[in-house]
Amino acid sequence: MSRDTPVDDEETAYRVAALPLEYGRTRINQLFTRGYNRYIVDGEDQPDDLLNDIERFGTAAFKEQVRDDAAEEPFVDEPGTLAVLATLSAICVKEHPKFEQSRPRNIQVLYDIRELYVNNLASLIRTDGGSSLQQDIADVLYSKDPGEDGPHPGQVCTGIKEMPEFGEGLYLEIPMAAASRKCLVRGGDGQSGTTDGGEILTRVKDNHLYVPVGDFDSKYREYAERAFQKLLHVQEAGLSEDQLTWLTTNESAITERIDRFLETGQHERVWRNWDRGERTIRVLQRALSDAPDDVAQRGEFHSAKELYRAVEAYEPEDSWETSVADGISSPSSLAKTLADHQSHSAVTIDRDGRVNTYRIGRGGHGAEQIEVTEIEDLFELPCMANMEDRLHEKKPVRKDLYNFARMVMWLPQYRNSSLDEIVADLKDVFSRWPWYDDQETEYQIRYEFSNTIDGDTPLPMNCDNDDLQRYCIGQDQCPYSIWGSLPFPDEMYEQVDDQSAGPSERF
Amino acid sequence: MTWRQATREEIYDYYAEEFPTYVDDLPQFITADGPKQYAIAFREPHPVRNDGVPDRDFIRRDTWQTDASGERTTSEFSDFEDVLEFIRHPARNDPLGRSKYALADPDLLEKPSPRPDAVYYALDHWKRPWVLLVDIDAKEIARERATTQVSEDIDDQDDDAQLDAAGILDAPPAGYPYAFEDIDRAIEYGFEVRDIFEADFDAEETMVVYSGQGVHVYLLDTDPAHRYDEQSREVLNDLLLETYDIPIDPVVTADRRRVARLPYSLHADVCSIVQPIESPHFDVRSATPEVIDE
Repeated sequence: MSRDTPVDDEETAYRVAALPLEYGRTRINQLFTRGYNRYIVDGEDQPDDLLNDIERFGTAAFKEQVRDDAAEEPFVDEPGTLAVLATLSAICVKEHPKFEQSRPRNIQVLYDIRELYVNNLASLIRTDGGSSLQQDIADVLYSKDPGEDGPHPGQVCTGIKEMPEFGEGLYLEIPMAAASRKCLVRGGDGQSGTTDGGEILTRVKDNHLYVPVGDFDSKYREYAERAFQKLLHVQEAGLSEDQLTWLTTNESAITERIDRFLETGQHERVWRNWDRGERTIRVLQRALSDAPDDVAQRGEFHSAKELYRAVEAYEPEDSWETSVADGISSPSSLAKTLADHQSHSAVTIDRDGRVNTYRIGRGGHGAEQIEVTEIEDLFELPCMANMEDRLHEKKPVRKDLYNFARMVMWLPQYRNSSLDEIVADLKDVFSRWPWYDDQETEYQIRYEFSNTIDGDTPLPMNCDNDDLQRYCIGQDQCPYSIWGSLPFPDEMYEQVDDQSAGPSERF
Repeated sequence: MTWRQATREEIYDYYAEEFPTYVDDLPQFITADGPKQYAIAFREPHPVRNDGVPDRDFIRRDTWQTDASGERTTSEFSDFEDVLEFIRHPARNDPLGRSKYALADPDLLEKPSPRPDAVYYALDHWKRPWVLLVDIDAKEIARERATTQVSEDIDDQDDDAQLDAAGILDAPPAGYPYAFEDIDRAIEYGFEVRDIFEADFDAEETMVVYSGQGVHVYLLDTDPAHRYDEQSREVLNDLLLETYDIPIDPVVTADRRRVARLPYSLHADVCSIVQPIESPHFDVRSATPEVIDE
């Protein structure tokens, strides 16, 4: 390993700041040391300067324009300083008395600080980082998960080049043997690595893929969000009680700014879940579930007028629902809200007709519905059909069995069945396979059902689950999605909602 | 020429008389112990020794016994003649021997000895990275052709109705869900893929195999730059389908657990010899075995 540390070597500092998930605490703390060293002049600490910069960074982060501008022009010009200011600002926010009982993921101002950090870092890397750093980052961003043949042994990104034959701009060069779907960039709204969306923009030449460099920027942004979490954790763990007290006693600007937001009722600037669109859609979903089928239904196209009628008839359970429902004052205000949130995964707008119609789904992919009257019907899903084929040849791996049993357990017709009934029906299906053994299968199925997560029924696997990829025909090929096509009850999706706000947005 | 199902006797005659003359032409990686498995499909399910286990119409047999850590211990077929014996009389030469999962001995049954409707080998291989194969199926091409030809207002949207309305079921070979022109098109696509492999993917060793109802295109280079694992193959799939617009079967390409029809085996549903071909002008009517009486 190189003897250069982030304390004394700028290139190493950039590397650790850019890829903290690849480094341990020691290196990250050295990056912070580099940042703190800037506030030592002639051997003397300059706490006032540090505090001043923390407050400046934290309050600036609340301004959208500043966050946006930082993506082009760095707000802070040095990686160590940036890491220190962003993490200490975030700690000031978390220590605000108002947030004592709050989960960090519900606090909007933390997202703002993270965004300023991410934008700032991305522009620093672009202007100062040099192409070898970008290549190293690309190695991390585009590396594939180890497969049956182990990790790819060579470099993932072998160059960043101009390729005039493919059009203007730079391209990341990735050997075909190192390629994964992450490298397939799509035009339009399509995200790289996903299977829906526009045409593939990645090109092929000489057994290499050429990925437009713009994709690197958006991938790095996603990475940097997780990277910031790690920096924050390391900073929090490294602060002594005294240091924390000093910080929270002396810092006032960030705290006051948050107080002012609260006093003036700017909840959306403080709280993450104060998202009017999200809440409106949640209320619409519930109202549609409650509405008689001949009035309006989830998953069907309706005019704004019909949706408005369903909301009017809906009797909210929670106070937040009441306030959202009251806020929908007319079909046209509803139409406007939906138009503002047309990118929401649950909203589809059809503008082809005389009047616009709107479909409120469950979120997730558009998916053909499957009517499940018996377990057999699950094999209409191509992945389940593939699994079925496979099970004729080989015994199931545990996750296959788990997945199968869990999927069945969540089907509406089995929600209130006795375990004996479920086991009997499952055995009926399993008995077609050559490895079937009555007693062993019974034991295994019962074992799967006895597995709970803190008393909650575990969710069935969804299409993104790694273990399903063995059987998946590719989400771009498949007209179905497991969570979208099967008639799972709302309580399952509510459990999904509760869990999905978790890890990806946790600070 | 014949385009019909081969009889039991014809199948047996083919593997007893004609197939052995092609054994020397088999691609080099197809040996007694190279592919990890050989597999056979039967027209009628055949019982296995264990009473409680359902009859089997498809069996896979490993080429090696392995220990708990997956290391090879004993080879099941010591030379290709053993594989041949297994193909000719699967139930009498089942490598599973006296295991209760082995095929039941035909002497103890009223049913006749099963004959292979199709013979396969595993793409997963002991001695080389798994074999990369792209499958192009005339059925898919015919289905797409039917969809574009038949007006959408036909009430019945199921496949057969569309194929019928497009005249495909009646076109020679009558009764099959594709026409000869669809197979010819599949072969053309196959050579396009071969050209793509050579031009854009720097492949040196390629092969196009007529599969009976389409083609298999192989990329056989084994150098590190061509060791495409499952994830790289998914990328290749997407590129072939979308960027190059080739109607491949994407499931086969990315899955190392798949089996492929053994070159020079008989596609018994159409009386055709599966075989490597050199030109997009290959006449599928020439693939009928000599043992088949027209």
